Order: sequence, then structure tokens, then C-alpha cells
Amino acid sequence: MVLQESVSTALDSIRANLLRSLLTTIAIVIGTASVIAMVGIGSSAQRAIDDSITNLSARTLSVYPSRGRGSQKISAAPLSISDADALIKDKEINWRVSPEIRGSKSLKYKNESISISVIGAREDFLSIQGYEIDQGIFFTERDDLARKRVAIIGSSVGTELKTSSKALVGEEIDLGGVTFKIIGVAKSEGSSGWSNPDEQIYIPLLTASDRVFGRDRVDSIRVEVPNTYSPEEAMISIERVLRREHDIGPGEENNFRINDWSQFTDLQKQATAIFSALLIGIAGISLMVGGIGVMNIMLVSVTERTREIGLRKALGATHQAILLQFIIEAVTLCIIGGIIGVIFGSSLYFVVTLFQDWVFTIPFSAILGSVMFSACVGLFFGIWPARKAAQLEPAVALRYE
Amino acid sequence: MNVIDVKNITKHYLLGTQTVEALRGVSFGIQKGEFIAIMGPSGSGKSTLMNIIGCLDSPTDGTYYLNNQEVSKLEADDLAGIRNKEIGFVFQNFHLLARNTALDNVMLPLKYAGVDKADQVKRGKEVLSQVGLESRMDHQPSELSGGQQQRVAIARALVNNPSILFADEPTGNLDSQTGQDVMHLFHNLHKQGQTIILITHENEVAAEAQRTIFIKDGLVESDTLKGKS
Repeated sequence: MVLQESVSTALDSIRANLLRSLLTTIAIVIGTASVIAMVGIGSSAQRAIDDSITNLSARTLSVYPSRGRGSQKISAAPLSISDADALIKDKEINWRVSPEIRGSKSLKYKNESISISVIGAREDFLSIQGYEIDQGIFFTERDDLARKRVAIIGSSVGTELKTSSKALVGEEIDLGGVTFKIIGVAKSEGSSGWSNPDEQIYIPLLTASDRVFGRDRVDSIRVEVPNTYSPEEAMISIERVLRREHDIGPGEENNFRINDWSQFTDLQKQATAIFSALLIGIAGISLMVGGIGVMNIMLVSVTERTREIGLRKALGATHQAILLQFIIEAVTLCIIGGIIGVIFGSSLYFVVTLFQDWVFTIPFSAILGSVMFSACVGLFFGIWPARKAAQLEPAVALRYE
Repeated sequence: MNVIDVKNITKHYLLGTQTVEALRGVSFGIQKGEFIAIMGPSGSGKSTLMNIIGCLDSPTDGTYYLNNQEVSKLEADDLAGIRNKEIGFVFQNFHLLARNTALDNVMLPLKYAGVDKADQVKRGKEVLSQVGLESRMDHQPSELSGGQQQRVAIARALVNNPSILFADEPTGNLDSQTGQDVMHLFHNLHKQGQTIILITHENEVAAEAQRTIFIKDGLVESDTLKGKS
């Protein structure tokens, strides 16, 4: 019998037991939907990560003080402004270096008082961070050397002080007991997760060191590495300079650590991979369960239609014709489940892209692949019931009650 | 020329640990164009004989020639081919596919024979008009009366021009008037030269045939020719 006939016969019998058939395919639907959602979300997340990496013209490495894990010999050795200057003076490292002092202080303006995160930095800080000035100006190297009491505020600081940031330009405020003049407002950057640059205040590094915090210990040194250097090469150069500055002998551990921000994206990639593996697991189990469900319903179908099988055999259906009819029915059932799954999975993925602001792209191969895989599940789990049908004795099957 | 020649057919079943001898050596011949009734009480071996002559089952021993071809030793798929081309079945409870139209039901043997779709439709319509149902060909069995359903089944049996039309209690599920109509149709087919084997337990129905073979205890008890045609 021609394939087309078998498919239409299969669709007829699925339609005759529509609810039962659809319930049977639920696990197949879930399996396929997971695959499609996984492929979509995975590729979008990957694309978002790749974009964020390539968007940086240069990558930044950050150096932090460290006590050295588990070792008693290494004393707390803070990073200082001179460490940053040593990096700048090194002829191998002609990259931009930004030492930063961070701390929390209370800010008073008129009758308002808030607690604010203070960052003491140099002029380069602005461009290394990629921040921009919205109102007024940023401080200069000269302001820094003169330890001027000038400040730039984040865009939402004004609102916290019950006024607008724009109105604060030129105003004087009290920061931890020191009077500062606000000379500029930074453009809104949005929260980066653990800190919000819009709620911070920026002052010259030496002002912070001498007048506000009273220390020349810095909390981090940010180094901008051009794309022509690998992060590993850059790390080695930074390590060499800082080990010399800190008098660390051969074989001793570093008392500072260097963070590569790409490690963070690696972590994100890993998380995505784990998420994908989990979904593949769910998909695999669902398709397996779905296959067993389909096998079960096909066995029921064969029993219910014993007389029909007997009749078809009496009219000349061969073993192969009956086998094919029931396999096609199982495969059709699974393909329908697969298609519904693709629709559900795509919808789920689409909703996620809306929330994450991702691009919606499902490779056609994923759709084709998951529907094909469903068909294979139908084939695999349909063979046994179909064999049972094909092996029925025509004389016995015709008289089955 | 004999269409059917059976010699010393036996059939044994294993029922639990006991061997049941359903047929214990049956022999007869049926000529082309005969209208014959096979009778017998239940448990006589009548059904077993019918399965074997209808190529639905194979005998344990003995030979069965259909159109001079020995079919008693054929494999299941070859028997399927014989059933498809040489035998047309009509059953007591019609055995139509409920979700298919009359035409689709009639075309089913042609599909298994591998006939072109266009020829299937042409031939299907032809036999449906032969049984007077050309106007009902797009109806499903549930939209047809019992008599009409049985006529669809007869059309299906005739569609491959079989050597034998095999009818198992064809009037058993019909009222007497429609039963007579169906018997009338059989007589018409017989006049056109169709070989017909009727399986029945009703004397009235058997009386319509030219010849009656009576089966009892797995043997042919009598084989009588009647003057009536």
C-alpha cells in the first residue's frame, strides 16, 4: 500500500481517538519543546556573551590586594598608589592604569543627608570605565595633584537629595566632613548587578587619599590591556612589576590577585552549558517516557482493532503492509507531538527573548532535527506493537470478540 | 475443470495438552461456476474447513489445489496474495471499515493489490453500480442500511474478479426481505458464471444452492446435488 494511504489511515485513526492520542503525545511535546527552547536560549545567550566581549575595544584587568590563601608567611600587603605608578612607569607596560580608592561616606546637602559610595580616581577613570559626562566637566590631573575638593555625581544622586542632579552642579556639599564643590554629573549607566554607578560620587584620587580617607592604600588598580595582548601576557607583565615592588622572592606566593573579566564570562558560559545539559536530560527522559506512552497506546490500538487487522489480512494485506500501517501510525503520532513541541518550545523561547532583550533565532536544523528525532522515537517504540499486529493469524483475528 | 480440489485434508489443533482433530480427512472438488453450500452444526469442523478453503489457514496434512495451484504449502504472504486475487469474502457482520466511505471500502483489496489510484476508483465505481449502490458510494457504513452494507461488502468481494466468492452466513444479520434481496444478488452473480461457496447452518439458505456438502465430526457426511439452480 502506498505511503500516502498509510499516512491518511493513520491520521484517521488518530482523529478517531483524538483526546487519547494527544494525551499520549504530551511527553513527546515536553521533550521536543525542551530541545527547541534549549537550543534557542543557548544560542541567544552565547550571542549576548560574545557581543559583550567584542564590544570592548580593550579588556580590563583588575588587581586586588590579597593575603595569599592558607599561607601564614605572607603578611597583608596592601596595594598603594606607588604600585600603580610603578606599573605606569614600566616601559613594557604603556597601558592606561587607574588606581581606585573606594569607601562609604555620608553626604550632606542642605537638610538632606545620605550614605554614599565614594570613588577616588584619576582622570583616566572615566574613559577606562566607558562612562560619560552629562553636565559640567570631569576633574583633571591638575585637580588631582592640587588635591582639589571637586566632585562628579552619578545621575540619580540628585533625586536622593530631593533635588535634581543638574541643579547640584556648582553647589557645595559636605562629604564626610569635607566641603566639596560639584562640577559635573555622569550619564546614567544603569545598575551593573552589585554596584550602581548612578548612585556614586567621584572625587580625585589624591583628594580621597589625603583629605577623605587618610590612606594611600588603594582598593584596586584597573589596567586597560589593548586587544593586541592576550590577558595571559598582560597578567605576566603586571605580576613581574608588582612582585618587584612588593619584594616577593622566588617561590613565594603573590600577595595580590589579578582578575580577568573574561573569567566572569567563562563562568556565564559554564552556567549556560550546565543549563543546557539539564534541559537535554529533561528532553531525553521526556522523549523516552513519551516513546513508552506511544508504545502503550499502540498496543491498546492493536488489541482494539484486531478484527480490522483480520479483515485487512483476509482482503490480502501482507505481513509487511500491516507492519508498515502501525509503524506509520506510531511515527505520525510522534511527529504530531514533535510539531506541537516545536511550537511550544519556540513560544517559550520567544517569551524569554522578550525578557532578556535577546535576538530570537532558532536554527532550522534544530526544528528539523527534533521533529526527526521524535519520528525515530515513534519508529523505535512502534515496532513491537506493529509486529504484534502483523503476526496476528487472520482466521483468529477475524473472529476476535 | 475444478476450481477447488481438496484431498484428505486434516487439521489438528493443540488445545492445552490435548490434540483436537477438527478435520479428519476431507476430500471434494468444486467446479467452476458452481453454487455450493457448506453446512454443518457448530463444532463439526465447518469453520476450520472454511478457513482452509479461504486460504486464511493451512491444513495440517492433505493437499489443496486452487486453480490447479497447490496452496496447502504456501507461506503466509503468498496466501495473502491468493486471498487478494482469487477469493472474495462476504461476512455475516459485513466487516466494513467504519470511518471509510463505501467506495474506499470497496477499493481496499485493490490498494493491497497495488492498483493505480485512478484504476481503483474506476473499478470501485463499476462494482458498486453492479450491486446497485453507485448513488451511495460516498456514504460511510453508519449511513447505510444493513442490506446496503452487505451489498458494499459483496462489491468489495467482487472487485478483484475472484475465482471464488466466499460467503459466511451472509444473511445471518439481515431481516428476511433484505436477506432474500442479497440471495437474489448471489443468483444473478451465479448466472454470470461466478463460483459461489455459501457457508450456512440454515436449510432455507442452503436450499438456494445447487449442491450441499454436509460436514459432521470433521468428515464429509453427505454431498448432494439438487435440481434447483
